[in-house]
Amino acid sequence: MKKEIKEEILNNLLSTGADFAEVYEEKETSKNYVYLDSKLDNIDYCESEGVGLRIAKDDEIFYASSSSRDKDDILSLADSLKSNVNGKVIYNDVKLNKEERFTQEVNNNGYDEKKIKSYLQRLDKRIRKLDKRISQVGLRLIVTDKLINVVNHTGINKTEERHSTLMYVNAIFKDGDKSSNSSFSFGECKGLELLDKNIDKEIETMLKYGLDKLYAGNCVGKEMPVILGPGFGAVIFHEACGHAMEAEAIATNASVLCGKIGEKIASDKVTIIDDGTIDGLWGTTQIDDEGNSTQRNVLIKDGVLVNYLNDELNNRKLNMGLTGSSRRENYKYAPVSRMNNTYLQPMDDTIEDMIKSIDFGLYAIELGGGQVDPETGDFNFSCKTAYMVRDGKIAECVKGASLIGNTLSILNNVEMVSDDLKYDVGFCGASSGSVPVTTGEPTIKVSKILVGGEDSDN
Amino acid sequence: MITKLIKEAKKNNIELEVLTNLYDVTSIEVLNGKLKKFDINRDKAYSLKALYNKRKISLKYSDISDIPTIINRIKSFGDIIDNDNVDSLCENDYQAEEKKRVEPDYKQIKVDLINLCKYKEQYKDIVNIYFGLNLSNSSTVIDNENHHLQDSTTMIDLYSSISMSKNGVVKTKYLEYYDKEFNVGKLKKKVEKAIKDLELEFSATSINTAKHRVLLTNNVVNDLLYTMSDMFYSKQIYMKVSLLKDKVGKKVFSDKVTILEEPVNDKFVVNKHFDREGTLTYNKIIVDKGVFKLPLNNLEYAYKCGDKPTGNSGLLNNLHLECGKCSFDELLEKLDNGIIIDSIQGLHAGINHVTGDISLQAEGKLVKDGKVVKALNMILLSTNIIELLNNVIEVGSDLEEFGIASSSPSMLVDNITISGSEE
Repeated sequence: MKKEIKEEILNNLLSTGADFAEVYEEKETSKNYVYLDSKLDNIDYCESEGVGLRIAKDDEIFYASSSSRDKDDILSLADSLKSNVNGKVIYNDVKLNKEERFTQEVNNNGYDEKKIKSYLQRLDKRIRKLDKRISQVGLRLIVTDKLINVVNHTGINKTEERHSTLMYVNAIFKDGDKSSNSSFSFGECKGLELLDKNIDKEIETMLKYGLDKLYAGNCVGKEMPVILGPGFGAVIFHEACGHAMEAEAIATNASVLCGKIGEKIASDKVTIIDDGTIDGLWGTTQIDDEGNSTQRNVLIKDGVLVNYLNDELNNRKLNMGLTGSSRRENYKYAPVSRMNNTYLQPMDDTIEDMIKSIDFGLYAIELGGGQVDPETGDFNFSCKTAYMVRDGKIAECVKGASLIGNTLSILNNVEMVSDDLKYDVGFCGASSGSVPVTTGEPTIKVSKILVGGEDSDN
Repeated sequence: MITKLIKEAKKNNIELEVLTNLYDVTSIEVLNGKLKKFDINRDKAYSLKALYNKRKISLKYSDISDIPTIINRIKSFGDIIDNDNVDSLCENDYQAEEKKRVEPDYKQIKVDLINLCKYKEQYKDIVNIYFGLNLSNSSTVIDNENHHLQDSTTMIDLYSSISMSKNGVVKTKYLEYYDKEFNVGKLKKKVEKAIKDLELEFSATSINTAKHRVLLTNNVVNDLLYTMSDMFYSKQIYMKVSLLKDKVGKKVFSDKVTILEEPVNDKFVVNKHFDREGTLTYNKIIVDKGVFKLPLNNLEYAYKCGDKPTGNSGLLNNLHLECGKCSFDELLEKLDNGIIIDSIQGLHAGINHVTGDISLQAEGKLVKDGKVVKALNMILLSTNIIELLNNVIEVGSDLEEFGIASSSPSMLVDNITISGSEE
C-alpha cells in the first residue's frame, strides 16, 4: 500500500481517541520441498499477503487483520476497530517518516529447482546406504521469503526483507517389531547456500542414536541428576524461564518471575541471553514486528534476574524500556514480546566430570519439545535421545523419558556448565503465533529433575 | 476469477480444482474484569490442486489474480516433482442449506465475561481470571470444471484460565470447549468446578513410581485420542510409520474400545459435509470392539491401498470413543483404589508416534475406596498407547466436545505406570 493510504488508515484509526495505532503489512512466499520414499513427492507452495491493524486505548487493545489489501476493505475493518474506542482525539494528521528499508543479502549458490532435487536425491541415497535397518527417510526443505512493513502513529515506517532456509532430516529404523526414529535439522536466515554445509557429523550422530534407540529399554522414573546435551537442550531454559520473562506474562502478573528483578533466582552458573542480532541465526531479525531494532538482552546474569523481554504496549505498564522483542507469526496476529535466539552462556566444566559425578542419573543428550506454564513455572519436556548414567559411566539407551519440574527449582539446581555451546533451530508457539527461534546451550548438569519413565526400580 | 483460472488452466492441459476458505472470526479476551483484547480476522485463502503431467501439484494463494504466473508455476513444478499421481478431481456436488446467520450480541458477551471475573472478589486467592471467546464463521467452497461444493460452519470456542496463589505457590487451571452458541450458565458451571479443583490442588503431592488402575477423564482421553489419531490413516500405514500397519481386520485394542468418526451426526457442534478434496463425508466405525476396521483415507491413499475414500483429506470431524453405560461417578466407584488423571501436558513432544510411547506430565487425584483422598501433581503418565487401549476396563457415558476434530468420554484403565517421586 502507498504511504498516503497508510496515513489515511492511521488517521482513521486514531479518530475516536486511540492512543496507539499501527498498520502492519506483509507478503510471504514459502516453498516446502517434501522428499519422501526416495521421491520428490511435492513442493508445497504458499503465497500469502495481508494487513494487520492495531489500536490501543489505555490497557485495552483492539486488533484486526485481513488478507485483502483493498483500501475500502481495510478502511471498513478500521471502522470496526475504532468503534470500540470513544474519547478525545489525541493524535491527528499523522505523517509517516520516509521508509527505512532493511535488506538481507542472500546467496543461493546456484541452487535452482533441479539442483535442489539432485541434492535431496543424493542425501536420501547416502542415508539409506548407512544401515539396512533404515526403513524410511524423510527430507523437508523449507525456503521462505518475507517482506514486512510496519508504520505507526509516531511516524515509524520501516520495511524488512527476511529470508530463511530450513532443512529437516528424519530416518526411521526397523528391526522386526522394534522401531525408532532419529532426526536432525539445520536452518539459518540465509539462502540456499545453507545446503553446502557439511553435515557428516550430524548424519553419523543420527545413525548412532537411531540404532541405540531401536534397542532401548524403559527409562526409570524417579528424581535424579540429569545431564542435558548441548543445543536443543536449551529448550529447557526457553520454556522454563524464557516464557516467564516475556512482558505479556509479566505485565499481567501471570509469571512466576514477576517482581523478581535484581533477585538471585538461579545458580551462579546461569547467565541467559536473548540476542536477536546474531548474524544468520534462525531467530535473527534486524527489526522486530513493531519496527524497533532487535538487540542483545541479558536476562539472567550470574544467577540474578536483570531484565524481561518487552514490547511497546506492555512497556506502558512495565516502563522498563524496549528490548526489540515484539514478534508475530504473520499479519493475523497482534505482536507480543517473544524470544529470538536464547542461549545459556558457556563455562568451563567438562562433560567427563559431569558423568563421573553421577552414581545414578540420566544423560538427556537430545531433548524434544516441551511446554511451561509461566504463571506457575511448571514445565515438562520430552527426551528424544537419553541414556542412563550408572556409577559414573554412560549406560543403556532408554526410551520414553521426560522431565518435569519447576522453573525456579531447576534454575537453582544447575551445577555444572561446559564450553560446548551449540545452537539449534525451532519454532515457538504462543499468543502471537509460531515464530522461528534458536535455543543455544552448552552441556549442563542439573542436580535433580523428576524423570518420567515406565520402570520403577534401578 | 476462479472460473477464469480453471478455464485458463485447461487450455494449458492442467486439470484444476480450487478450494476457497473464508474466515470471519471475532475474538474477545477479558482479564480480571477488563477487556484485554478484541480481535477481528477476515481472511480468504485459495488452495489449488492441479493435475498436470501425471503429477499432483499443491499451491496456496491469498490472491489468484495473476493467472499467467500461477499457470507457469504449476507447469514448472509438474515438470520436476516425482509423485506418481493417482489422484482425480472431485466428482461430487454439495450445497449446504442456507442458514440465517444470527450475529451475536458482542457487547452483552463482553459484559457476561467481565461479570464472571467477579469470582476474583469472592475467592481472594484468585490472582488472575481470564476468559477468551472466538466466534467463528467459516465457509468452504470447492470448484472445478464440472462440480461445485459449498458448506459453512458457525461455532464458538471458549477458553479460560484461572490462577490462585496460596503461601507463594501458584496453581492454574485451564478450560476450553466448543459450542453452537454462547451460554453463560454453562461456562459458569465449568468455572465453579475449576475453582473447586484448583483449591484442592494446593494440597497436591507426587507419588512414587508404580502401576495403578487409572481413571482418565474425558478431556485427557480426548487429548490422547486426537494426538494419536494419525495411526488410523492409510497414508501412515502405507508409509509403514503407523502403529497399526498390517493390522486392518485384526484385534488391536480391548473389546471395550469402539472408535467412530461422525461428521454428519448433528448432535455435534460442527458437521463437515465434505473434505478438502470434495469427498462427501459419512459416519463410520474405525475400530469396532477392539478390531481395526477402517483406515482413514484421502483420494490418493484410497487408490494406493485399493480402498474407497473416506472423506478424510485434511479433515477429522467428531472422532470419538463410543460411550459406555457408566457415568463418571460409576467409573469412580469401579476405580475403587487408584488414580484419576484429569490433566496432561506436553502432548506435542511427550508422545512418540512411531513407537506409541507416552511420557506426559500429569495432574490428578488419589482415590481410596472410591473416594478422592488427595490431589496429585508432579507425576507422569508413562505408558504406550497400544498398551493403554488394551487395558481398558470400562468407557464412560460422559462424552464431551473439546474441538471440531474429536470428543470423548472418560475411560477406566488398568495397570498403567504413573511415575513420580514422593517427598
